[in-house]
Amino acid sequence: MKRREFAKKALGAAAAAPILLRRLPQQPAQEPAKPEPRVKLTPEQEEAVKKATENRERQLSLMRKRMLPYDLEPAFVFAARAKERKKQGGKEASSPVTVGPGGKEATRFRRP
Amino acid sequence: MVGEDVLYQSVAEQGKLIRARKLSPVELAEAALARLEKLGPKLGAVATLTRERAMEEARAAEKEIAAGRSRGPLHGIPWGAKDLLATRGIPTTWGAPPFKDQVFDYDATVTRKLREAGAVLVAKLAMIELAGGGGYNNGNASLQGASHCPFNLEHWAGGSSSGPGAAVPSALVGFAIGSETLGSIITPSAFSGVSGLRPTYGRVSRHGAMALSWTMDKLGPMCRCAVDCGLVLNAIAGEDEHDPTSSKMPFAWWLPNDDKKARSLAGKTFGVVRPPSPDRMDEETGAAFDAACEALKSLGAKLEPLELPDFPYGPVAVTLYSSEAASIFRPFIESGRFNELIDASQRAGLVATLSLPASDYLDAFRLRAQVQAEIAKLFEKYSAIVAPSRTGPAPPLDRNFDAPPPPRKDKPEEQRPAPAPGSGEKWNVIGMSNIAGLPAISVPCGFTREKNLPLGIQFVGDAFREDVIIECAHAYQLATDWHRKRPAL
Repeated sequence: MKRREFAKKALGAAAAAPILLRRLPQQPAQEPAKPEPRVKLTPEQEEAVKKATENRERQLSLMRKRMLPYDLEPAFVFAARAKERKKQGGKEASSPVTVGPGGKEATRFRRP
Repeated sequence: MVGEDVLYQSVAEQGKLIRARKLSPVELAEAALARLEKLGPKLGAVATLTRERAMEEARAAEKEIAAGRSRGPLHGIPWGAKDLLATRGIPTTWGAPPFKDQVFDYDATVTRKLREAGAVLVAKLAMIELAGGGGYNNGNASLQGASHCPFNLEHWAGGSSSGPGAAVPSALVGFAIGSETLGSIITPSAFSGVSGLRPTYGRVSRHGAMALSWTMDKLGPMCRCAVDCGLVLNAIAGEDEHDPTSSKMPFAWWLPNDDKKARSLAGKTFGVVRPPSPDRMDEETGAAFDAACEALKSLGAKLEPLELPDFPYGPVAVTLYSSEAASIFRPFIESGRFNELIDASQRAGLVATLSLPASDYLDAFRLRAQVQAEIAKLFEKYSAIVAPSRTGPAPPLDRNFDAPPPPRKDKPEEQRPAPAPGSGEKWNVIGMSNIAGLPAISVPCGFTREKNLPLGIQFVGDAFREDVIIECAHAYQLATDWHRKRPAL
């Protein structure tokens, strides 16, 4: 088939397609099936959960409105870190402190 | 026959008598069991009596001590475990009806360590169901029913370590182990007149304890004085291969020999977080706290007013533990068994945790990093942060915690609105210290006049510096006698 002939046929097919599609039986528009809720609740419980969620959202809004620095990373393995202490109350810190490179205190994250 | 005076002694005092063979561990255990049987139900303190195990451990202690082999200050001392610690062959109910028949075939690490230290387990103690993980709104939210404040039985003992709160000041046990995710040791200690220590996160292995939040749960001693907290922490602290978050940091604290030195707080500087009364703190609680601060000053400490750095401590803490609780309890919630829980708000709260966005959990962790860094700066200046343990005394047993606060005494006709969310964060010492994983000790600092309800002061320390806060609380207790008050039972 020559290029010109192909272009003519393709144009005709494109023009006819909407008409042909309209002749096809229309499928009823279907919403995607909702997954079965994992927790079955009574209407009373649903109301209580809604209230608990609303209460939580109020709390979360206080957290969400804070702008966090881009480079602030979460402590994925949480550890309360000891830090070098000044002499206080006439007593030196008795707990050993891990000192990292450059004299900085090393973080105390444990390897998982 | 072991008399009441001996039962009310501290662990340190009882231990001294045992080692001198003036007090028999078997007789002490029998006396504790008899008292638990008699007063336990009245106080709502007990989940399970562990008579068989107690007598076996007491007889072993007696034999060893008679042979001159002492295991240390806890040898032969009766103790009670909050009913979330696994105890081999004994029910561990987590305070919740769905788990009433749960039995583990191993001991929690803390239980094992105390057995090795020679302590005698006499009872599993009551608690709020699932340590209140879904949020509870009354003191009855427990399989064992409400625990009563021993000093006023019409009031709540505090939670979620409610059984230890009721049992320790009434001398049903020598000491108890409680747990805290967000206030569950400090609150019953304040409400019931206990000296309770919440250790640094990672100080004590969590293995075998019900998990509510992997990154916030802590186990700690609840005793009749600060010294006992140190002695018990000696026995339970340390790294554990079964808990990857347990710390290698060493801990050893012993009763100071020099009484004069122990009484002095010279050189110590405290940051004082004091909510204003009467709007944010009950007036009597404020007065008792002010008197305690004066006592600290008279011991040589320097006190400076402190406002906590501006962070949403409450929302961060709740987001952290709720997200983790959602993961931990998802199978339980989805099985529908959560319907067997007693408290309706706990049931709803647990279901609601399942829809917490992961991004909020991560944001809470990021904020946690900021909180840790900011709070660490405070300990460059302060030996400890001092605050009222709670802003009021124990509520009546029938109080709905979600209800607005009761009217002020001087304006009984005026209904006070609930404080706006986030408005009390600059005084939220419990939230701040639990997010940062810092240790705290609460000790009694007074009683309300009319209702004889205990009030508490807390010392929050730098990470892994339980020794500092125990020393401070011990000095305060050498100068006062609130911790020696006995309830009329």
